[in-house]
Amino acid sequence: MSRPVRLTVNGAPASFDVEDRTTLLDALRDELGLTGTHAGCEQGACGACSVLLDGEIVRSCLLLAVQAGGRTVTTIEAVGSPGRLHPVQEALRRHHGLQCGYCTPGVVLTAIDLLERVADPDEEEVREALAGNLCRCTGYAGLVDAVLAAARDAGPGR
Amino acid sequence: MKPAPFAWHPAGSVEEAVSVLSADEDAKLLAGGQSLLPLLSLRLARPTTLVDLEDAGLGVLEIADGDRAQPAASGDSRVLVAGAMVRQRRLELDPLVAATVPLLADAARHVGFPATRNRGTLGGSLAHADPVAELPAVAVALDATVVATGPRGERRLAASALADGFFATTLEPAEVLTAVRFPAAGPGHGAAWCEWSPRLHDFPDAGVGVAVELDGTGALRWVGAAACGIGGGPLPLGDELAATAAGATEATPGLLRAAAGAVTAAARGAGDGRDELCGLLAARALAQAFRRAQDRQVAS
Ligand code: FES
Ligand code: FES
Repeated sequence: MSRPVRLTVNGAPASFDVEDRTTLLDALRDELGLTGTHAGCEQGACGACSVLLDGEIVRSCLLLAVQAGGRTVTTIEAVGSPGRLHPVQEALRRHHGLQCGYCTPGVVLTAIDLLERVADPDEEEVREALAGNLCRCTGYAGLVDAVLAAARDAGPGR
Repeated sequence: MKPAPFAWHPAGSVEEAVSVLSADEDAKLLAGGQSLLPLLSLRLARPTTLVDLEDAGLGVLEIADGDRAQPAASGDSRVLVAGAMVRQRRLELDPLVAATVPLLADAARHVGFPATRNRGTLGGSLAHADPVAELPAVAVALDATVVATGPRGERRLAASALADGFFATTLEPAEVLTAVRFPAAGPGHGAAWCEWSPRLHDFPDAGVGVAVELDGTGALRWVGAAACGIGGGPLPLGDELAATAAGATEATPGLLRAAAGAVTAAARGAGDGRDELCGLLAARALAQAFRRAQDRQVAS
């Protein structure tokens, strides 16, 4: 049995019909074609599927699509563009914060969520914020450097 | 499609949730879903219906008059009432929680990740009863009261009477945990949560929460404590610490050593050296709680 869901995705109204058991992750990818949200573990452990729900970082594999009805979802597709990267994306590129890129959408959104709340985080705060985002390539040092640099470049009082 | 089929039922009230649960024994409650969704995706849980508590009015977070004539935990007679659907992130960040139940705020920041704390709830954590979960141990350490509503109405039970072994509680099948009432901190109150996890923010091997209250002369007049990760549910440690620390005015090395020994003995039988780990964590938490209580007295 499917159910209609209406929500706002990346600033525009979106709707789809899904079974109740469909996760938000699957709905974003399969119903809306937003494949930038990556499916890693699909059980809450890796952070690859992170999106913003009403402006807060959540894991889209730990949410039913029907639970997102009436809410606002932001995915990586709304962040930067190939010609004009978001400062966090630019910093990841400069500091070798990605290799295969599988974890990257989740890392970018998690970093944006951190910098929204803490304009000038120290290394420990960055590590703590990123602790739930698994990366099999970079060894994390580049990720941490990039987020610190993005915060620095943005300067105080962004 | 990972979970097996089920029907999602957003409940508009606790009564509605209770009636759905009463009519269908394979219906389950959905709170924050941060432990349940993985179980669904792994098909370890196959409910017929998921009763979503999001809109059931369980988001209250407020101070209220206490129910006990002489609350054991506190020189303050009020309680912090936290609804079952209060998010873990709010417990971590809301100044009201930090001021009135500092152990809850200190422990909440160790639960999962920011992304899961934005969804995960207090009530979900207590009802899921994972033996390594922090929040059930906090409720036991502080002698909190759990409020539940079932087909026969509302009842209250001590947090220590909620746990019933690994991932099990004493709640009836059709009961909904609606709120937790935490004794509010008095003037000489200090608290700390310490845990050890091999990877930052992963499930801990063990964790210990300690809250103390000092009297006007700076002597310890009350201590509450509990551990997670030892056995099937929260391990109360208040009596062990009271026996070693009552009347103390300083967390001296001798006192911390005695406290670690008493807690290690209480946790005896936990494998992999976790009993001694628990003793160390308790000593560390006691020392921090002591210092915070002293700071609070100086500040007030
Ligand atoms: S895919 Fe959601 S946390 Fe791994
Ligand atoms: S860049 Fe490959 S997983 Fe992170």
